[in-house]
Amino acid sequence: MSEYNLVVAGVGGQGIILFSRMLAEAALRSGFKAIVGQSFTAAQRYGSVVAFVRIGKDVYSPLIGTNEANIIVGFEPLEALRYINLLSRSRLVLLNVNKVLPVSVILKTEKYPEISEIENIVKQIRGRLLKLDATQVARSLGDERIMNMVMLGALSTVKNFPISSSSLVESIKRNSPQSMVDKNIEAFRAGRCLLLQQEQDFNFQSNKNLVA
Amino acid sequence: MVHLNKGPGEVVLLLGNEAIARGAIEACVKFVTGYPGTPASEILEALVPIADKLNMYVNWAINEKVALEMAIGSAFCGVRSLVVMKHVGVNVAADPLMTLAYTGLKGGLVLISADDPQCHTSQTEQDNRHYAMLAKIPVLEPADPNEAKEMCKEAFNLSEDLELPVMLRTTPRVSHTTCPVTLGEIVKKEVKPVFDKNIDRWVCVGPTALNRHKWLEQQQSKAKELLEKSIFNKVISESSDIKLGIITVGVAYTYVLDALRRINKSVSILKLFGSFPLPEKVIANFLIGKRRVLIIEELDPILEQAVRDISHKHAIPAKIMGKFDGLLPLEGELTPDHVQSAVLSFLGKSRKPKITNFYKQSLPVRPLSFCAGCPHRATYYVIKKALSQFKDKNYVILGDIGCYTIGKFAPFKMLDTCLCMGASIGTALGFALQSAYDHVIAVLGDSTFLHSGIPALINTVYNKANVKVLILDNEETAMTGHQPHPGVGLDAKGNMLKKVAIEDVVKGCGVNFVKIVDPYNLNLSLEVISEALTFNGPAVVIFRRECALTYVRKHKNEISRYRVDNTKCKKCLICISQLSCPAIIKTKEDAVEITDSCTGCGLCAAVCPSKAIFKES
Repeated sequence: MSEYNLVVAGVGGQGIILFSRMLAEAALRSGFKAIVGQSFTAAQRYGSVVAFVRIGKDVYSPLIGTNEANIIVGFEPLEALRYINLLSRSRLVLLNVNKVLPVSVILKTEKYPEISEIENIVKQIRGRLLKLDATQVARSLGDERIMNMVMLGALSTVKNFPISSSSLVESIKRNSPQSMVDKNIEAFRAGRCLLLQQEQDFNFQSNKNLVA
Repeated sequence: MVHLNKGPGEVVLLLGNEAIARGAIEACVKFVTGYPGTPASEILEALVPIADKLNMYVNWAINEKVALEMAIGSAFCGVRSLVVMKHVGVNVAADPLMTLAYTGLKGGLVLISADDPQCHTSQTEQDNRHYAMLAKIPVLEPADPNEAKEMCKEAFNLSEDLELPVMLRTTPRVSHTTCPVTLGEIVKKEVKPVFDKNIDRWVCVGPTALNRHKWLEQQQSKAKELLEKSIFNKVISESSDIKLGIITVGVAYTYVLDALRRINKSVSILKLFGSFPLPEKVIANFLIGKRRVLIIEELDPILEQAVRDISHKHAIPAKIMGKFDGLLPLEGELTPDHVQSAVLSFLGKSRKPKITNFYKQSLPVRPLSFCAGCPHRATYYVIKKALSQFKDKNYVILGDIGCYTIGKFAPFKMLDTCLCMGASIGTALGFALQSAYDHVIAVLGDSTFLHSGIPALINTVYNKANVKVLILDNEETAMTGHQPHPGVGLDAKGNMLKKVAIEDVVKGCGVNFVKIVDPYNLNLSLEVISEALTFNGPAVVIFRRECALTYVRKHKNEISRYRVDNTKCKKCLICISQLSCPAIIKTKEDAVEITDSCTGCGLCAAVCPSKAIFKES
């Protein structure tokens, strides 16, 4: 693997910086080089936030160019769509479907794009879209703020993902405040289980289609 | 999470700015100051927790000029000093910087200029390499956090060898990039501060200044000589075509490496330590035998022009390409796409790898908005309301740099100008002297007022101008990450120093109308601002209320939030359209809901015409 590029896109306050740091640390422990390019100027102020996580032996720049990403990790659908052009052909979008509406959308001066726009693009480039309501999962665990850990768990199930799930859990332990360690690991496992289940269903479905 | 005091040899993930801080530790820096500004602030902040252990002075200064002057005083005493600021901060500090280059110094002094190509968080994307050239001091430009740490150390050595200040210029893609950094040895050296009095050097005026200018010019050749041998000049030579080459500097180097790997080409690269003073011999040697050379740098074509000059001087017929040919943009930060495309054009590839934009429609943007509970929201709401009482009067609102600049965006759209730190009052004075508006209002924050608002306020009083100055005092430098300032009286570590009350300063400037009001108290705020607007002469209203984020951090468990009674809510959305509070959302079921990010300010309850918003018991 020369490079594995992730675009993590969402809204300020969703925990993108911590997510990226945990990922990078796990990559480092797994013997890779890791670079995180981040824009956290608007982090506290509800703007669009993006982090570029690059893992590999041969990565140098903190930015990801058009059609260079292996995965778009969308913490929010609109933000995933905003960076969709960075995705490489036949690659993956991992999407939290929970929308955070911009004010202009609430006031109906602008229209929120349909999630089907992402579906269409993914289809067109023969990629794949994995959807989950990570915010809902986090809420059901009692804390919306751990949505990022649900996404990390979901990410860990991705086929050929270069970092092991145990290494990610180690990152969670090292980077969470003491009071949040157990909660974060629980969220990680919830995200992981949900996606593994989906994957099983998906394979079952595609096998059924094959037989039919 | 940050391991700045770990031992040598360890590899840790560091942010570029943390790496610079570690560089300062390894270089045995004993004095660090600056003024907060993105993307520079984390450098000083990273040092705060370990400053005492290292016997290091670390604190914010009132502005960049004072910060640099403090560092100069310290360096004159022989102590290694670091001063951090964003690029536009160097405008403020430029005055002492120019003379400092003449006097020179004893202890090393490094000036961090955190430039901001792309204006991520700034009013201009000025290229501060020009300042280094103007002052005739070396400028080092790291490509990544590792190099940033090493360059910080080297900058101190260089500064002491040359007795000149050295600029370390970063960009957001270095300052705000995290990557593994190898920690080095920490030099432990106690320096006894001694100043070697000498009026013919340090009192830099008239003939002394002229002499010192001569000295500065002499230092240039010494600087060039040192930088010819800089370990940060690298030639990577694996070219398939020896007649082609790329010269680059700073973060652009990383884009070049990635682009060449992706398009599977090898071109020899000369990566330079920085852009001034340029190692002429290194560059000339690289140019010899080349047919074409591409220059890749961010912002102004400084390197490109200099390389052209060198090739001309040495009569090397290489064609120098870059921004002058339109291969790369003059504005904005470079991206991997820019660099890849420029390299391909340079290599004469007509068939470029296909880059496809799958989605081309424009998407709703997320304009910056005030945080939940932000006192500025209430202030702007009141200003708007107060001005609406004087329908026959026209007004102009002069803005400034800080969180309250967000008043520019919907739903307030209340600012007419914004230039630079402290400009609101001076600009307001200019407007007032033109008498074009009935109400001339300056809006600025507490930190900004102390930074550079005071002289303009004195000039306003002196001119007896009818300017209303609204100081939005959230008791910290909030925008850049909640740094303290003299108006709060705390230092960077949270220790109590002397508090300098803003109202006392305002009164001291000769303002007779000075009132302090809590913006959460809407009725009183409206009354006070209306009174100020009708007052004849300069008037200052201080809207004082702690930053909501800081309040929440301190009082996490004692917040009574507001909620929506959906039986009363008529979905007029006034709470959203007039306040744009991030705590107020619309649910999937189309109901208005107040989330747990509510801090209990109650502004929404005050504006709700249906009285549908109530305080949770």
